[in-house]
Amino acid sequence: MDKNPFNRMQDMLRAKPVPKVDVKHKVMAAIRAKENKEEKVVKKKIGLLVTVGMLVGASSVWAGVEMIQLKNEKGEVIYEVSQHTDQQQQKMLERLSPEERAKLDALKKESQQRSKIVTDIMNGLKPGTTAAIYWVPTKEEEERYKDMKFVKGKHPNVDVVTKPVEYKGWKEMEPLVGEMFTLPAELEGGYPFDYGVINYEDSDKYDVEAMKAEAIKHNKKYIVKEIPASNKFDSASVYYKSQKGNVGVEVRLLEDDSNGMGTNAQNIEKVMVGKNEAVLAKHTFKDGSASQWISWVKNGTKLQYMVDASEEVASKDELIKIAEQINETK
Amino acid sequence: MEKTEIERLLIEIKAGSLEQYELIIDHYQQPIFTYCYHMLGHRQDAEDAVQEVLFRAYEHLDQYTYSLSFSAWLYRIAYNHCANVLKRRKLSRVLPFLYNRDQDGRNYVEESIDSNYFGEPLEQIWKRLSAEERTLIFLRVLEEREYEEISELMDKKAAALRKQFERVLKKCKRYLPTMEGVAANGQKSV
Repeated sequence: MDKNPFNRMQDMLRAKPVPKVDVKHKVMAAIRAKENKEEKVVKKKIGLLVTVGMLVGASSVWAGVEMIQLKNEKGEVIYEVSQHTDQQQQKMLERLSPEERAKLDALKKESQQRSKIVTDIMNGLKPGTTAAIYWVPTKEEEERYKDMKFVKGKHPNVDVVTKPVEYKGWKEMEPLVGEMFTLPAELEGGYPFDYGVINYEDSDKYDVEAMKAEAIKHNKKYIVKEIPASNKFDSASVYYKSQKGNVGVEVRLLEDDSNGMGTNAQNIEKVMVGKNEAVLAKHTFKDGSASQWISWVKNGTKLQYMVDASEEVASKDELIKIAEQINETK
Repeated sequence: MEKTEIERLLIEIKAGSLEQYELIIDHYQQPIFTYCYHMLGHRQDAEDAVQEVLFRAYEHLDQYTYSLSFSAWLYRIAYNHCANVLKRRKLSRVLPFLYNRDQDGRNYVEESIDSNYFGEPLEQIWKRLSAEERTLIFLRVLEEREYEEISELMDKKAAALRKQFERVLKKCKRYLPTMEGVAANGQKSV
């Protein structure tokens, strides 16, 4: 082959300087903007169907909402806990018009009915199996969801339920989650392992159109189909039990670099679990009894831990000691 | 950055570590920009293109299966994007009333080749090459990649690419100026 045109093309192309470019901030901003938009839509769905009483996303309009930010060793915010007490929520509801309140009440009632059906379906499943429930949307729901885009392909009219397998000891759970974390066989204060479950992310192996067609054909309000379970880890819950009572431990894999949750506990404060910043919350009930939980993100991991117990089972200091024991378990 | 390092980053990003994508952008933005710049011959279009490519790559990251290198996967996205831009420009020449200006008021006919970047001889050649031919010249002539590597990027057999490259080079040769600075019209050889 004649090399001359090759070399001359090369000379001409090389003679043209290429400017430097830096689009990192623009690209990252575009990605974050899109993810935030999708996250808000999902929150809206949860807000309307599950936690009707608490208008998620409305926190910004509440003056004086207390917020605790947990930072890692580098000083980066890794988790946020915001406080929305029952009184604050009640005040928010009182500001709604009678029509809006009636609409919320109707939604709450519908949500409770669906929740009962979902629980019954879950209880009827064999351990380790998953089912998808397709709810025929009302006209209002169709209107509400038509322009929404849901993250991870989750369909607005489908609930996915799984009946988890119960494990009777840490040795049974260890092969499944042991690479991510380790939990003790017994907690400080004499609480042996009672049972544990592993929760996986919702499976998306369902056929919405087929379920919709079946619902229309048989004029059903909802359709249930057993579907393959997901194997993507979401969280693990372990319950420890003594004569005094129960202590629950949950370990969750955080999805984003900035996560958060809301609580209606009346008291929240920042405490330390080893070198980890943690939130300690106390919720006092009308009868005077109180429950406490403590939560932290283990430094250098994406694992969020939560330990909860009623006040009569473990005091604040005892709960922190248990948390430290869990955090140090290897 | 080593292949294993890139794959580790991708696994972390897929698992939710968005901030790791900044390292991916740092590593790939300049080479992808260089490719888009040569493909489109226009600085602003190339900058828009590299943003679009890196954004789309993140959006569709779950579709990346490691069966080809991440670099090759990015170049494929970049190629498709640039090919679409070039197609649009071509249409703008055929249907100037419809395509002369886009919503931002930019005139793609006038801006098709950035005069600050491409000089006359190169522009004359470049205008006559398809998106695929430009990609082949860029990868083989400027980046001096082997056919096997180009094969992965362009999803074509190496032997077919070799023949195609020879044809494209002949095409380029017809429009190369002579050493004396007289434009060749295809009858003169260089």
